[in-house]
Amino acid sequence: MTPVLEAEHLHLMYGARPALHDVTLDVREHEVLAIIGPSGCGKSTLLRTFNRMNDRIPGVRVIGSVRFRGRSVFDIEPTSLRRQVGMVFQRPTPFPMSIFDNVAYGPRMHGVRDRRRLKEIVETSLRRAALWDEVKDKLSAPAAALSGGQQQRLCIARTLAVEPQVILLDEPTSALDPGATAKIEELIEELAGAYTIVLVTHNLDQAERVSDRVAFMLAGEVVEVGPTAEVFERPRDPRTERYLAGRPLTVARRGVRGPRLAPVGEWGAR
Amino acid sequence: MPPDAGRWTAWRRVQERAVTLCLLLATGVVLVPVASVLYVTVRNGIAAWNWAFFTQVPAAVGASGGGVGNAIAGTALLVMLALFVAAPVGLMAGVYLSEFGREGGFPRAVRVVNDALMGVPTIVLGIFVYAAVVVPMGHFSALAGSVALALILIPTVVRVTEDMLRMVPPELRDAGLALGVPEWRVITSIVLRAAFPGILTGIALGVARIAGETAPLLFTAFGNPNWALNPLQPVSALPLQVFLDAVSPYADLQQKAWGAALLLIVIVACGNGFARAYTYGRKVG
Repeated sequence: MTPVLEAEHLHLMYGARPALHDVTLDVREHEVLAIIGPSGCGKSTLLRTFNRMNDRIPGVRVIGSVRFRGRSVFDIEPTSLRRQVGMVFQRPTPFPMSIFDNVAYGPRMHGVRDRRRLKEIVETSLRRAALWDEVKDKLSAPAAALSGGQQQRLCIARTLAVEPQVILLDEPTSALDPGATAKIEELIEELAGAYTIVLVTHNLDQAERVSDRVAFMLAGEVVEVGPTAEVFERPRDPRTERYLAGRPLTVARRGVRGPRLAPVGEWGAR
Repeated sequence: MPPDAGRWTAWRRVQERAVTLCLLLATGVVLVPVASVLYVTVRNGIAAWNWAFFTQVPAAVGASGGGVGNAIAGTALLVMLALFVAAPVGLMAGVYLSEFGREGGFPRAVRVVNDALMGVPTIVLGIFVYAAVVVPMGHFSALAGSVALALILIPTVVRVTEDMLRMVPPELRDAGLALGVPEWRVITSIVLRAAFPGILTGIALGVARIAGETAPLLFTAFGNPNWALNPLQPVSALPLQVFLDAVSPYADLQQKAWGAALLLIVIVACGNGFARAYTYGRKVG
């Protein structure tokens, strides 16, 4: 079966600086794929090539191919591609308008005018994003008044409202407290049945909890991809093993004193 | 504790007092002129305020009574016309600089020219408009005056728009684009909307400023002792009226000058107050 998204021998340069090197990776229908790796390893860059958000950065050059359902993303109109491949960002980005208008924004821009239809879309999207019960009585309140975690679920609802097939999540919980994080993770698991999800995260436990497969990136390369349990239990590449060993929580939980090597967070940084 | 700790504490206290005193004095130096301008203007001007002051045209020279109604209307006309030209032009140029011309030779040149325009003495702009508008038209006019005022307002609007748009977090743009919305619609429906309170504040401050400009009106709008709201005719304006009446030998007219000055201060203060009230409690993005 054709993968939903696939990158093949993908190289990406910011000017003269290489950010991705020979990346080959596929994303399969209805899976949650987590991309992990230290800061600056290129995981967000890779994510942003899937919906062509890197186009906007001056001086970006791409070699190799990125395909959405077998078609090169560079042959698809960016607006059409992004409707099908939605994205949620690290920091919540509520628009300066009401909760209702935030969710209705996408459908409105894509030509939905009918009030009843819009109400339906907003309710369905907010329910799917597990936010409906918290906001149903204050849909006309400004979105900025919500808490950070609620704002992030609002952003997910807003993305769902344009009915994408894929949702790209770029460290969606790194600006949130543990309670809000747990809610988003629950939500990811619920959405996994209906959407294909690519999750970039710094949080290894999160990757382990919510993903079906995991890709480990280092210095612009994909080092290892595999089913989550396998990669976490029996990494094939020594670099993956070292990176995972640097995870204090896991070490404590498994009662194993992993080899304490170089501070992992700094690999891969230029 | 070292043996001389007590002495050190005392010395620090002296230092603290001295610095606090200096800061208070500096604050006083700033406040005194403002307070005295307000005090003198209110004391001399308030007596001139009556119904006739706001509704009538100036009385014949030497006669008492009359008012500055035509100057109030003239200022409103001039500011409105200037705003009508400067707001759209400035907004569009600001959007261009912020959204499409971040880098490159042309945008950089535009910024330099814009900043230069902001620094041109307003009387020079007045002369320019005299040569460019008044002379070809053959006579002074409100139109010429508002062109001069627009030239003062435009660079402010351009600058404020660009700055406010740049303060909108890039993530907000990305979030709009990521929904598959074309860039121009993201700019008009999200970015401008997020920056709007700031831009409006900047425009309000600019308007307050041009309402008080005198020099560029001297040989453009020129002044007019009668009601005149035709943009193609000379009109009066509050600052012009202050200028004329203040130098006249008649006590009655001098008092009218104080009254008009007070009115100008009130207008400018209202502009500032509106801007502040509108900005407080809001933030961009």
